[in-house]
Amino acid sequence: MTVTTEIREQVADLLFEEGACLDQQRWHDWLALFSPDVEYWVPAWKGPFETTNDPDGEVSLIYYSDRLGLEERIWRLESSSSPAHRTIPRTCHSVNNIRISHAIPGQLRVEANWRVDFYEQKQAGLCFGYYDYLLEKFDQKWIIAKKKTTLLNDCIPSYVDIYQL
Amino acid sequence: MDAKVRITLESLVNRLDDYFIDDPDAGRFNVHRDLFRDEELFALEMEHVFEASWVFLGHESQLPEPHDYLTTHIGRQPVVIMRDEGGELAAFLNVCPHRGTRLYPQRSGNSPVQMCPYHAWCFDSAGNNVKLKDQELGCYTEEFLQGDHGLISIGQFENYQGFLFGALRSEVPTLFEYLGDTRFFIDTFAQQSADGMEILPGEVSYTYEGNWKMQVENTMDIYHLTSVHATFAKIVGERQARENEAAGSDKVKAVNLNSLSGLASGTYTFDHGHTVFWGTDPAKENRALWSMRDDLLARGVEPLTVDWMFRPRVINFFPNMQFVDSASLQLRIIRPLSAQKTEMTMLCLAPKGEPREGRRRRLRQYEDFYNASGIATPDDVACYEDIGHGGLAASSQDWIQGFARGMENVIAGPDELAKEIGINPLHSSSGVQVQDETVFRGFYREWRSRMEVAKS
Ligand SMILES: [Fe+2]
Repeated sequence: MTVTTEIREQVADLLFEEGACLDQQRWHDWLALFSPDVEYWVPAWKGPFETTNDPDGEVSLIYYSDRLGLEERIWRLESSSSPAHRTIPRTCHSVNNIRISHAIPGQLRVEANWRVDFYEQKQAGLCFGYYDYLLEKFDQKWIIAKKKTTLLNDCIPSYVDIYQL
Repeated sequence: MDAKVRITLESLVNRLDDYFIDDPDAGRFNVHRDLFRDEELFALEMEHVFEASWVFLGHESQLPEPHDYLTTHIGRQPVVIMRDEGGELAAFLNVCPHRGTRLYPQRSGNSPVQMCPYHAWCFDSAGNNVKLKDQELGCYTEEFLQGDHGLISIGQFENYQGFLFGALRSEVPTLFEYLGDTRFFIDTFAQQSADGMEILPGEVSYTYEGNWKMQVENTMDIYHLTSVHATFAKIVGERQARENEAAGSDKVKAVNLNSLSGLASGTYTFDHGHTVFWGTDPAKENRALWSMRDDLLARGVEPLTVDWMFRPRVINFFPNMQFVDSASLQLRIIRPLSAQKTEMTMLCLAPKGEPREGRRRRLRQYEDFYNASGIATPDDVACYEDIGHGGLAASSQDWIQGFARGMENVIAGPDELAKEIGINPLHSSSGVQVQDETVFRGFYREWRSRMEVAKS
C-alpha cells in the first residue's frame, strides 16, 4: 500500500495529539485514542541491549491486554487517594523520527522516538525511548490497536506512570 | 538533645543510647531521626551492618551456565559471583588485584576469560590469574612470582536452596545458623517446584530519596496497607467483581484479596534481626501456584510447608533482602547509596515448569503490585519521600513515633502457630487483623547490637 502524505500527516497528528492529551491532563481524550482491546506494553530489560519479549513468560514494566488497565490508572490518578499522585509532574512529550514501517489497507505499523521531560517539586526529570504502534482505521479515524513503549533509562527515579511514557 | 547528634565517630558508638528509647516496661520504643539522615551514622552502618556479616547476593538461576557471572555489591564493595567451567559457584571482589580496576562492568554475562582493560591481566571463571602481561619483562622478585595474583575471594559464600549469600569477612556464623528458624519460611519460597526455582527475565530497579531502613519497615508494615494501597485494593476488588460477573454470580465468591479484615495474621522476630509477617489468604485458589499444589504434596514436600506456601508472608532477611509473597513471589534487594538515597532491585521468583496460564497470572499480579511502574509500590515510595520532605527536614524533631501498635499483644517466645511449625522466635505477635508495629523492634535491636561492636 502506498503511504500518502495525507496518511503521514494523519499518523503524526495522532502521535502528537496523544502526547498533548497527557501533557494537558485530558485523560479521557487520551483513553479514547485507544481501541478497547488495545495491547499496551512497556517491556523490562534483560541485558544491555535486549528487552523482555514474551509478556506471558517474562517480566514487563507494564502489560495490559485491553484498555481496562489504562482506565484503572486514570481512575487512580483522579481518585485523590493515591499518595503517588498527591502531586503529579508537569510533562512535555516530544515525539520524533516517525517512520511508517509497514502499511496494509486499514492497518499501519508506526515507529517513533520519544522523550518526556517532567518537572515536579522543583526537580526536572527525563524519560526517553522508542514507540512501536499498530494503528487501525476505525470509523474513518486511526486508533491505537497496540502500543509498545521501550523505556531506555529503566533504573527508575522513584516511580513512573503513563504520563511520563 | 540537639536535633542532630553532633559528636565524633569515635564517641558516636558510645552514645547509642541517644538514638534509642527501648523501654518496653514503660511502653516506650522510639528511634532517633538521625538513623534516617546522618551520613556519619550511614558510613558506620555500612561497615558494621552491611560489610560485617551475611548479605543476600542473588539466586543461582541468574547464572545458570558455565562461565556466567553476576555482579552486585556487599555494602560499598563491588562483588562478582561466577560459575566456573565445572559449574561451581564462587564470589570475588569485582576488582583487578593489580590496580583495582573494576573487572566485570555489566550486571551479568558470560566470560570464560576476563581481561582487565588497564594492564591486560587475565582471569578465568574460577578467579585464577591466567595471564600477567609481559611477565618475563617485569623484573619481578621471586617472592612476587610465587604469590597468588588471582581474584580476591570474599570472606564467606554459601548457597541455601538456590539463594546465594556472601560476607566480606570470614569470621561470621555459618549461614545455616545465621538464617536460623527463618529457614522454615525460606523453604516455602524455595521448594515450590521439583525442578527448582528461577528468577524470570526482566529485572526492574529503581531508586528512592530516602534511607534504606524505610524499605525494611515498609515491607513489614501491615498498618499502612488499607491507607496507602486503597486504590490498589479497590481496583483489584472491581476486577474480581467483573470476573465473577463474567463467570456467573453463583460460581465464584467475591473475595477481596487485599482485605485482612477478620483474618488471622501475625509477626515473628528472630535472632540476627530477621523478621517474618504472615497472614491468611481467603482466596488461595487464585494464586498462580494453586495448579501445582497436588504435585507438591505428591512428591513429598512437607504438608505444613505446602500449607504455608499459600499464606501471604514476608521474610525480612537482615539486612538487605525481603522475600515477599502477597499475590506472587518477589525478592526485593536493598542497596543503600547514602543516608537518604537507596537503590532497589526487584526479582520475580517462580517455580520452574509452571503451567503457562499460572505464569501469566503470576506476571500480571507481580507487575501490578511490585513494579515501580505499577499501581502499589509508587504509593509506598511517595510516602518515604514525603517523610524526607517532612519529619526528616525538621531539625526540631528528634524522635520517630511508630512502634507503639501491638505492644500489649506481643509475647516473648513462640505462640501456638510457631509451636506447631516447631520454630522458636524471640517474640511473637498474632491474632485477628493484627497490624503490628512492634515487629520493627527486633530489627532495630539487631542494628544496635551490630553498632555496639564498633566500640571494641
Ligand atoms: Fe506498601
